[in-house]
Amino acid sequence: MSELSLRGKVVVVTGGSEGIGFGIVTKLVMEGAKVVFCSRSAEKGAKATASLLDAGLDADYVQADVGNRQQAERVVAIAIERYGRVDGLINNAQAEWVWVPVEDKTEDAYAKAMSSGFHASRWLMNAVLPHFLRQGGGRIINFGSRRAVYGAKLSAEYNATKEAIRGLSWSAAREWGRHNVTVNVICPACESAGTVAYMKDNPEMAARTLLAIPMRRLGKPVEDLGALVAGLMTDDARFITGQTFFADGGLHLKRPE
Amino acid sequence: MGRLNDCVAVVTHGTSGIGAGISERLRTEGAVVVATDALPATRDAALRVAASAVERHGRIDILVNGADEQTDFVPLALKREAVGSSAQSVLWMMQAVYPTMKAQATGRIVNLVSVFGDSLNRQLADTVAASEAVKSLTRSAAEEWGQFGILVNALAPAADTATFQAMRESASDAVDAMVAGSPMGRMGDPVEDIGGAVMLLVGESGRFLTGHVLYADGGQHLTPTPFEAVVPID
Repeated sequence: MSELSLRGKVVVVTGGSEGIGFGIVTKLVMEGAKVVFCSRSAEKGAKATASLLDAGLDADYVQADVGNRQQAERVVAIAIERYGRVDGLINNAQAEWVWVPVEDKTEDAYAKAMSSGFHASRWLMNAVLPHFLRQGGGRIINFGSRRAVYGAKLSAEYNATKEAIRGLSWSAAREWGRHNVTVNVICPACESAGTVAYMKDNPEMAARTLLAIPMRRLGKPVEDLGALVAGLMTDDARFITGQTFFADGGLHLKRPE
Repeated sequence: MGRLNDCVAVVTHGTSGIGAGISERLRTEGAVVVATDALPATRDAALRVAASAVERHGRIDILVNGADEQTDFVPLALKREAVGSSAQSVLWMMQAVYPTMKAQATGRIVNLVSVFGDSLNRQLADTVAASEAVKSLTRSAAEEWGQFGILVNALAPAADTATFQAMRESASDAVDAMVAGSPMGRMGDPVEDIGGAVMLLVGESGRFLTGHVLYADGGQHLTPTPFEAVVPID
């Protein structure tokens, strides 16, 4: 067992089948937590479950579109049914944006961004709250974006959703702090299958991106993002709430292109 | 078994107050801690602290710069210095450990700063300006030293600091109301809460965090500080 023991803790992770979400699921399980994770694609969920098993790790997968309120609430209900408690909620799910200017964004683009990110986050936060109150506390981690903090171009629906999530997080941090519920936001810069392929195809852009990161590398889903999330689930973080963690090797010190 | 076994930490201003709590926490986690009473008054003093730690323990993995909060508690019209001396001391200390951390290709620096930096204050202009300078130095160091594996962050603690004690002496009711009105409704414990936050930054969880100003304050930065009640203007 490594240094951040989470034995006895139950954590719900949305969008957990791939990328950062899967890294977080993996690390939380490695640290001894019981993890209930969900995603829209049952196929990807099965693949994720299989690769966890290959590594000798076990987590509970639930197929759910958290952009639908009933399905989102069902994920928490399943965690409670199986384990009787929930200690952490990681709201990682978010639809991708469409690369078009503000004036060309469709109603559908905004609806998808907001339901998968903002509404899903608040439905799930409200769903875990009664259990947190009963247990004497809990941890919520929502996901924001440096793109959104600084208004990067061509992703307005995503940016607006991510900043709505941060706004929601500060309100919940203030209102729920007295119940020992902490609410923090992570803005990641992390490797994914997509970024690795993109950087391979665009070496000049990749070199420029890496040069903009003080640590000269992208984050790793398990070792960096997973470790931060695991740390925020421990007692070390019990007095930290209402904050943005840029898990990006210092990239946030520069504005996005 | 600790999480910081084989680690060497230098904690300046680390023998009293919050600094002592952080030193205790780092020791409990297994680190060898070299704590100083105060921030270094000269560049040479900073170099001596770093050299002595390396000589005795072979390396420096962690530097925590405590906040000295030096101020004369007078209104702005009477302040003599724009920026208190602690910013200079923090720069000297970071420079003093830099060659060692660069050679190791790893290091974590945590600079303690004021919780009042980006909100209002009264009579604290010099010490808060020093704290704001430390935040900027933190970002500069994060940017310039990240490529060498040196991660630099600032931490603003809500705990029983000298400034807080002075505020409580001048208006205990207002200060108690402020604490009660903050999200978690309490001040931080130097070992468990502030030390815990330091552990997040210097341990495994902090592997990819640099250039931050984090608050270990139970959310107090989201709520108002009643300076108008604590320090009335004549």
